[in-house]
Amino acid sequence: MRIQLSPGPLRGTRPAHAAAAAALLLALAAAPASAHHAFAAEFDSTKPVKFEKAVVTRMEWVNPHVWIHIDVPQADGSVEKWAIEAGTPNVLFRRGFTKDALLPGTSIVVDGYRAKDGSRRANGRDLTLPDGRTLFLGSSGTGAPLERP
Amino acid sequence: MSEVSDVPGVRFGIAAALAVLIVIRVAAQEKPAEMVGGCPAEPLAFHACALQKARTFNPPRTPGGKPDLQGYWRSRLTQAFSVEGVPADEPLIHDPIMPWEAAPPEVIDPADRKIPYQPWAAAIGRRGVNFTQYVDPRTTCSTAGIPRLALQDANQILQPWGDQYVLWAFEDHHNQRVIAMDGRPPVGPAIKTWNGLARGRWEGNTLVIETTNLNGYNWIDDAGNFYTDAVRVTERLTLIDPDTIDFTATFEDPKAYTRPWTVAWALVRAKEPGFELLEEACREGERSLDRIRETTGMKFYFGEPWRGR
Repeated sequence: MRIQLSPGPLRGTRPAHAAAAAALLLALAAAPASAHHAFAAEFDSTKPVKFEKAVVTRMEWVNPHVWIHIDVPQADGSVEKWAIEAGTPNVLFRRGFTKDALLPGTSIVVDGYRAKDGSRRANGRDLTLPDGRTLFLGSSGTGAPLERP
Repeated sequence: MSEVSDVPGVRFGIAAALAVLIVIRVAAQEKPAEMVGGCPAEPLAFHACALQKARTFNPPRTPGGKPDLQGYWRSRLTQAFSVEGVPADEPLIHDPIMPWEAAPPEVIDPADRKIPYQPWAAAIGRRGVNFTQYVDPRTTCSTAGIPRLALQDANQILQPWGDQYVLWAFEDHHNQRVIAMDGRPPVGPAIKTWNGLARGRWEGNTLVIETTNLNGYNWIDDAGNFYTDAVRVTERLTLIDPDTIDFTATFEDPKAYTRPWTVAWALVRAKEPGFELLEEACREGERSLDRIRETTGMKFYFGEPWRGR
């Protein structure tokens, strides 16, 4: 069973909010919803990607799925720009995650699966914050396993 | 059944439900049975238990004296992938991107807990033609349909003064249903709509919603299970305690099935302080559909696999 941590008191949020978010997480745990399974077809499950030291450049807080844009430093000193697809804004919001949670410049680690078309897009699974806490991005749907702790 | 309207054809006893639970737990090494509203969450056991509880529960009333179902609700499912359940050997359980989860079916009737498809239709639903060749219609940001809307996350029931209507609002893609309770006649079969036309009535303490005039362009679940535009969906909502609704939906579709069949699950009151439905403007930033079609060759679903038969 996946352990899903609350993002906790992120920037600009108070611990009380984090506690409320944790309470919501518990409440949501028993509310599986259907997933947009077709979205999985856009990504390649044989091509997992992990971005260390990615830097957030922009967060698109849009329906149906939030997109996190990142700069990924390369060995040769250049930077690759990637876009990470996350869950729906409402699902992330009820997990205590807001559009202010990932301000530009934030350093993160992202796990996911890259797009089949070879473009620099990935379906995000986990996002690790600088202090080590992990946020489950809810993939690109609101699937049952994703709503469970 | 006096106060409680039983689902036609569903007469499962508590013993049968318990037997199912035992089999499931032994066979699948399930975690201890989850409970909801004082009943096992497993749909068959839940419904059998809920029928018993509803016999003695006296629900709150509207000013007009009708059972008061108002409030925020969430579906409480064991899984939302296939109403026929997800067996332990289902390959999609190992899908790394969007894994399914082994869990019991929501189908409670017939006894084998499978949709009684006609043979041609079985090849289309049940992860068949629909699942492999068509984009899930819900993915296109359209309505999840009836009763899949109630299978999604948060929803809200409102009963305006006068009891002429029941309003059922859904967060999922921002849908709503207006259920006429005034006994108005149905409309002709030529009219087809995505969420159908709903006529409601009270049978004892049970809200019965009959929905017809559906266009059949929606699926029932992620697995591509389906009905055609000939379907009649009869939903029954019965409070079994202040915070739990016994929900069933019976599907009658002579084009696709050999007999009526029924699903059941619980709706549980959302009690978080300040809870409300949020807008879900699914179209807003949609940019995946073209890529999905290009990458996978999947088509949009407008009932092609059954239309024209």
